Amino acid sequence: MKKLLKRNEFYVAVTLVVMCLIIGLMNPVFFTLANVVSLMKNGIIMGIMSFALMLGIIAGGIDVSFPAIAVCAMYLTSKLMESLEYSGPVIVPILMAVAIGTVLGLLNGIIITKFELPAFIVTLGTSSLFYGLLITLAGSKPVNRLCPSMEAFGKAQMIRVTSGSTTATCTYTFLFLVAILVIVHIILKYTMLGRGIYAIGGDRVSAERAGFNVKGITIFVYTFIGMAAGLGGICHAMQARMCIPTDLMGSEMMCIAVVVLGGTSISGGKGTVVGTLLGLMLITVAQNSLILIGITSIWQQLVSGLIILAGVSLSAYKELKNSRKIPKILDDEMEV
Amino acid sequence: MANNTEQKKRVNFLKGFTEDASLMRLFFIMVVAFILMTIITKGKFVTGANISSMATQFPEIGILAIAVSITMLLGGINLSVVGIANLSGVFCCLTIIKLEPSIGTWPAIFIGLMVALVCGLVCGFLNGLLIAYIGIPAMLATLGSQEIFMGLGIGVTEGAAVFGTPDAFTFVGAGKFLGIPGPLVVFMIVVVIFTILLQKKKYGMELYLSGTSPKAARFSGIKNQKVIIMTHVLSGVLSSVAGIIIASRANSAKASYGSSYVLQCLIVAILGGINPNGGFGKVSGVVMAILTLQFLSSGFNMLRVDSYFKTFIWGALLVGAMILNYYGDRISENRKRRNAEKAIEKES
Repeated sequence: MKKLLKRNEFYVAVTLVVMCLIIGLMNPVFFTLANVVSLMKNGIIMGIMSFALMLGIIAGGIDVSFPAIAVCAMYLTSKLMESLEYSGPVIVPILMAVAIGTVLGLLNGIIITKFELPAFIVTLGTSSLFYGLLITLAGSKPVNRLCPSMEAFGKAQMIRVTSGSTTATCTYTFLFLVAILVIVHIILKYTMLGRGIYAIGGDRVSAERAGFNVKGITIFVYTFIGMAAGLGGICHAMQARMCIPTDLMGSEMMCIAVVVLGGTSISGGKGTVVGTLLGLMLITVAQNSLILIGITSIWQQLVSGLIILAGVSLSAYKELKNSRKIPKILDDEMEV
Repeated sequence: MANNTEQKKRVNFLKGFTEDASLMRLFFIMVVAFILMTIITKGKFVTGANISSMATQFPEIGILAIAVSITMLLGGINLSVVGIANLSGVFCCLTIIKLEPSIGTWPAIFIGLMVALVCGLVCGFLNGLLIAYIGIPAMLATLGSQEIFMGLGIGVTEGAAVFGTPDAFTFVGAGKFLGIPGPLVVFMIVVVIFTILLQKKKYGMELYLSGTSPKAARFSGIKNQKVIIMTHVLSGVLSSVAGIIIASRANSAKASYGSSYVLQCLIVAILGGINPNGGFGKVSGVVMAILTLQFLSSGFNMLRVDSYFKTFIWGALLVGAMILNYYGDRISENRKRRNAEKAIEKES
């Protein structure tokens, strides 16, 4: 029990439950199965990107270019498939989007490690570099008709629930979210690579001395984020059944919030899949259910901003209190 | 002995040179950008109309860039400058509209400006509190507070632009003092104040020290938390000054204005030689960087370049400038090392 109280996930879970109860009491629609399924569907894209982003943040870095990468991947793929009048299986466009994402992510990783630059600023730059180049070269006209296989994949219903007068469905893209979650969990928990990611985030120099290939691991992390962004992008296009190149841009803040709310330390070295999952649920509920309790759309940005900042404050303050304990001991020793 | 002091002098001279090298490099880039644009636009670039339009355009981003720069000197960042600027602009306009009928135009404008500055101060103070006393990393805290400031602005205005301020309000943004455009005057005042503040005052020294090494600063008796709050308050007030210029130029305010400004501010700061890890950089570098960017931007506008292509150029510039700095630092480091080796050889 004491151990449980110390864990950050516990507080996120409590916040989540309290928030759900409040919303549910104010509007019983919240607890219907249909609402749960629609929440599930709304969290897919953000989830895919957040779990990958978590690896980056645990490794002590950050990536704000993944929305741009996602847009590049989905738009180029949709556009190419449209112009080729492609009618083959859906796996080809998905793999293509993932490949585009991987290449762009690799580029991020190489720039960051080769020139030893701060990841935040690099990815901020590459974000507008990728996006600007994409729109300049490929235009900004939405692709309204996806290729038939993508259209069919986006239409297919994995789950279909009717409660009362509302029907909610969830697409097969949910399986990608589950896959990413499992992969990230395995990497972090059972592989040397995962140990390396935690080690770099904890202390770069020590990790290097301990024999980890710091540059290689860093490049892997950004490549993985790029890959997941590509996947998330194509999933977004399939779910929306059209491809608008201005979509997704600006979603980086929410994904960072998901990861940090879930207890991942922004300075690196700490973080779990379970925490991020809770963070994802919290943000998804906050974003999609405010309207249920009568908060109109003009105030939504403020309220979700407040919720995020409150959650981040909670975990940051706890960390601060923990870190203050150590210097105190040091001070005492020095006085002696 | 005499030989020794001579060497010392030379090392000092070299040190000065390498320190100035990044500023020299910037100056060179700025001149190249200017000449390049003059040639490409076939001289249209240096006409009086273009120069005066440039002089009204760059100060707002320039001031925001200084607001970001001072927080970067501290090793932090401020991503909420645009949010603060817009929120201040909105409050300023709303106050003026509300008060004008009862107390007259000029008093209403004066109170409106004060409200905007206080709004910037409060927002900055909030950022400072979140960073210094709750311990949220600056990047996250200001990303979050940006959401709040913008959300508040959208909520108050219901997402629409605020119109209906009197024409007299445009005296800052569109007026001229002694033939110099108003925004440029404000920008010059800001630059002078912050150059003095950073280079000559105690606060500046504390800022640089705290940015270089918070631990060392703490042991030398600097209260880091106070410096953080002070810096973010200054940053907030500067943002609100930029917000006033923006609102006054357009004679209206909008909560979601200028979302691409944050990126441009960061580009200006990094191009201007502000080290994102804190401790190094000068206001003069930022000024040269903003001028370079404005030359490029105006030139591209004359060539009717697509705005997305400009986004691409900003991104490429940001990454390119950092890579250039990397090589520049390596060259000057190598030179230093070679000189040191030579000195050792001579001695032996």
